[in-house]
Amino acid sequence: MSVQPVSNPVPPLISRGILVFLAILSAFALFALFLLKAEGWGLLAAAIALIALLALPIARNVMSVVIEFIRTRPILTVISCFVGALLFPFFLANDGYWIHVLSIAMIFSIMAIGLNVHLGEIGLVNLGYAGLFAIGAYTATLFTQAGYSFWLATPLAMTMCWLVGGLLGACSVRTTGDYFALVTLGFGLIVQQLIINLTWLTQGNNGITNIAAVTIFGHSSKSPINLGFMQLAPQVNFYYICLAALTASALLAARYQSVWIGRMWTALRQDSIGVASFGLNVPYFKVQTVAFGSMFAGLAGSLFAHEIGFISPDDFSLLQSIEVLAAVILGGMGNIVGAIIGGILLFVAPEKLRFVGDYRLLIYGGLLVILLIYRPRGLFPDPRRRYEKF
Amino acid sequence: MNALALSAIYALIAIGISLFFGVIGIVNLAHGEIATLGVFVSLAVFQLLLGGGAVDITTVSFSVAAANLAALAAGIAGAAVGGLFFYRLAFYPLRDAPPIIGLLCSVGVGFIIRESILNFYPDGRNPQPFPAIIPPDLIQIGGVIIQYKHIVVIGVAVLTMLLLAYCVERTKFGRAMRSVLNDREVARSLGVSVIAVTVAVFALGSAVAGLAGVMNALYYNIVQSDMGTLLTVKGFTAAVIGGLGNFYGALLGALLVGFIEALTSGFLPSGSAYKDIAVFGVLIAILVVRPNGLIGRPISERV
Amino acid sequence: MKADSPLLQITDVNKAFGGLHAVSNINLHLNQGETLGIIGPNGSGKTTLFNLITGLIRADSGEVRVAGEDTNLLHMRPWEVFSIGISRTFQNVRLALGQTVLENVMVGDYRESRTSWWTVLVRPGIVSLRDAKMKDKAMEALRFVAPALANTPHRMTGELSYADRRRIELARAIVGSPRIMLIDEPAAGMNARETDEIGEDIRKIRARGISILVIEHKMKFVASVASRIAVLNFGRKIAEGSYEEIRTNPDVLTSYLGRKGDHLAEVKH
Repeated sequence: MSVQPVSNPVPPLISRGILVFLAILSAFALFALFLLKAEGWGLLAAAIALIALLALPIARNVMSVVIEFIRTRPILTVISCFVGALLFPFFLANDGYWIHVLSIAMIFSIMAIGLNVHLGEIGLVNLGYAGLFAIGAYTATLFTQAGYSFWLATPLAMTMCWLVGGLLGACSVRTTGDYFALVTLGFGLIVQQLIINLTWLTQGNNGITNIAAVTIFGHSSKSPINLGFMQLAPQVNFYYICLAALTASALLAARYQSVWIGRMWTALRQDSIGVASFGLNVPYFKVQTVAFGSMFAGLAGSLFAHEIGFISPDDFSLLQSIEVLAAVILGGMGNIVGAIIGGILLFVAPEKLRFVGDYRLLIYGGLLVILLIYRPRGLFPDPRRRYEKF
Repeated sequence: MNALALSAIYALIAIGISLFFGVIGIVNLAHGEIATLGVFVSLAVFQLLLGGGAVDITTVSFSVAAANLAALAAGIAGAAVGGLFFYRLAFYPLRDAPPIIGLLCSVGVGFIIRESILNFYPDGRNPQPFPAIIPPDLIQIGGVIIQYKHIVVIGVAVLTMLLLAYCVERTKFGRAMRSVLNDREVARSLGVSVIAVTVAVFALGSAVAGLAGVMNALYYNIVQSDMGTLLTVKGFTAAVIGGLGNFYGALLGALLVGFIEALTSGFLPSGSAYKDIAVFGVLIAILVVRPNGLIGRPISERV
Repeated sequence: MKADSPLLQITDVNKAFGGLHAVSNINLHLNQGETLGIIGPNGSGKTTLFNLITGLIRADSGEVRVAGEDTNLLHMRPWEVFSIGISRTFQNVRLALGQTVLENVMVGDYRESRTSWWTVLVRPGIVSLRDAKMKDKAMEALRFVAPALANTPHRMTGELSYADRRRIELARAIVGSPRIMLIDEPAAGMNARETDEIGEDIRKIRARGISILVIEHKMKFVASVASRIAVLNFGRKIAEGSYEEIRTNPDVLTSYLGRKGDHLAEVKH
C-alpha cells in the first residue's frame, strides 16, 4: 500500500523557479561583494580557487544541471538577470566608483553587441570598431555642445554611424576577409588621426571637456537621486540609462536574429553561394548589415561621452578596437548574451586587477592569443556553428 | 631624397610582409613589432658592449666599428629568433585554422611584443636614442643634397633586395619557396617540405623586418616601443599596392608610399600631420578598388 | 508550345581561364516543358556552363536569353538570374549544414519572407505572417520531393545522408516556382535505388511544368529523364540529339565513351 505523499502547497515548478531567481540574484550580490572587497593577492587567490573549484567534476555536474535549467527557462533567467542588474547599485552599497565602472562596462558591452553583428553574424573582422565609436562620441558631443538635447544627439550619432557603417559595408563587398580587416584597420587609424588633426572641430589631442550632463524630466545626471530613505550616488543616474540602453540593444539584436534576417545571416555564413543563387542580393544585404551593426557604436559613443564628460583621441585607438574584438570572441561569436558577459568581464577585470597595472595590455595580448588557439569558439559556443569554420 | 630613403625602409618591410602572405598565407600584423624587437635587441647590445656608442663609425678603431656592426647584426638575428619563437608559440598551432584566426592572433602577438618591450626594457616607456653611427656628412650632386645615411639606408635596402632576388630566382631554396607560393599541394606532392619552407621563410621574413627596423632606427636615431604599428600599416599599404605576395610589386608599392608621404609633408600646409592619413587612405582605396594590387589581375568571380 | 521559340537560348558562350578554354562557342536551346540532358567527361565545361548561366562566373562572350526577357543573362548577378525564374542545384551539395531542413528549403524563395528592416521592428505581425506563408510553401515543396524528410523538418542538415541532402536541394530549387531548373549531377554518389528515386523526382518536377537542364554522368539515368541530350567535350558541343542518335554518334563514342558503347544497348527508356 503506497503512502500518499503530502501534497506540496507550492507546485515544484514554481518553487524551482523561485530558487533559480534567488540564485541569480545572489550571484549578482556576490559579484558586487567581490568587486567591492576583494583586493590584491587575496583576490588572485580567490579567483584561482574559484576556477579550480569549477574544474572539479562535482561542480561541473551542478553547472550542467543549472545550465540545462536555464536553457529551458530563458525568460525567467533574463528577468532574473534584469532584476539583479536593477538592484546592483544597492548591492554595491552605493559605491560611486564601481557603479561608474559598471556603466562603462555596459557601454562596452553595447559595442560588443554591435561588433558581434559584424563578426559573429556575417563573419567580417572589423579592426576599426573604435573608429565608429569615436564618430558616435564626437558627433553626439558636438551636438550637445551646440545646445541640442542629449536625447536628440544620440539618435543623430547613431544615424551618423549607420551611414559610415554603410560605407564600410560597401567596402566589404569588394574585399574578402583578410583584406577587409586591413581596410578596417586603416579606417580606425584614419579616424583617430582625423580627430587629432582637425583641431578646429575636435580640439585635437586636448580633447573635449565639460560635456554637459544629461537631464531626464528635469533631473540632472550629475545630481544624486533622492529616494527618501536613502540617497543614491549621482553615478546611478547613468547606470540606469546605460542599463536601459544595453537592454534595448540586446533586445534589438535578438529580434533581428530571430526573424528572416537572422536566418539569412546564418545561411550566408554557411552557404553564401547558395543564398545568392536563390534571390538574396548579397552585397546589398551586407551593406545593410554592417550599417545596422555600426549603429550600436553610435549609441555607445554618445553614452560614453556624456557619462565621463570628457573625450580625447586616446579613447579611440586600435587598442579599444581590439578590446571589443576580444570581448566578442570570448563571449562566443553570434551570441548576444555572450557578448554582454564578455564585454563586462573584459572591462571589469582590468579595473579589478589594477595592481597588475601596466602589464594589463600584455595580459590582454596573451589572453587573445590563448583564446584563439584553445577556445576560438569562446565561453558559450553556439552548437549550431560546429559546421562553420570559424 | 628623403622619400627614397623612406621608400627603401618600407620596401624592406613590404617584402617581408609579402613573404609572409605569399608563402605562408597569413596576414601578419605583428610585422612591425618584430622589427621593433630587433631594434631593441640591437639597442641592448649597444648598451652592453659599448655603453652607448653614439659615435660616428668612421672615426673609431676597427674593432669598435666591428662591434657596432655586430650589434646591428644581433638585432637582425634577434628579430629572426623572436619571429621563430612566436611562430612556434602562436602560429604553428593555428596552421590549419582559417586565416582570420591567424590574423587576429598576430594582433595579439604584436601586443605581447610591444607591451613586453614597454614593461621589461629599462625605461621602455620613453623614446630611446639610437646610436648615430653613420657620419652626418653630406655630399652634393648637382643640387641634390645626399646625406650619408641616405646612402646607407638605400644601399642596404637595394643590396638586400638583390640578394633576395638572387635567392628567390636562383637557389634551390628559392625555387622551393616559389613552388609553395604558387601551389601548396603541388609543392607537397613534389617532395618539398612545406613546414621547412614555412619555418625558413618565417625566419627570413622576420630577419628582413629586423633589418628594416634597424635601418629605420639608424635613419631617425630614435626608437620607441610603439613604432611598430605605423611601420606595419605602411608596409602593408606598400605590399597591397603591388599585390600581396608579389615581391616586385612590393617594391613598387614602397616607392609609391614613400613618395606619397614626402609629397604630403612637403606640399600641404602643416601637411606632415596628414601624411599618415594620406597613406592609410591610399591603403583603403587600393583594397577597395583593386584588391589584387596595381599589378595583379582583377578578380573574375562575382559573388 | 512553339518549337521555334525556345524558352532558353544559349548562343556562342565562351569562357577561358588563362589559357584553358573551359567553354567554347556553346550553342544550346531548351524548349518549354522539355528536359535537356548534358553529358560529357570531367572537365568538359558542364558545370562551368551552369555557373555562367546563373551568374556566378563572368563569361567572356555570348548570350543567354529567356523567352520574354530582354536582357542577356550573362550580364546578370545570381540573384537577378533567380528572379527571372531560374533555379539550380549544385554538383557539390551546397547547403547550410548548421541549419535545419526546413530553413534550408526556406532559403529557396526568401523573397516571400523578406520585409524591410524597418518593418521587422515596427510591424511584427506582417513579419510572422510572411514567415508562416514561407514555411507552408517550403513544407509543400518538401512533401513533393521528399515526403520522408517532410516528417522531420527540424533535423540538422549536417546530420543527414548525402542522398537526403540532394533531395533538400531539389526542394529548395522548386520552392520559388521557377520556370527553368538547372540540375547538376543529381545522381552522383547514389546507389541504384536512390538513382531511380531521383529520376522519378525529376520526372515529377517536369510534370509540374518546369523545364529542366540536367547534367549527369550516368547514361542510363540521363536517358530516363531527358528527351534530348547534348554532349560536351573540352568545352565544345560535339553532338546533340535523342538518346539513340547520341549513342551511335562516332565522335561521342570515341571521345567520351571509348569503344565500349555497346553496353548502352541495354538501356531502356
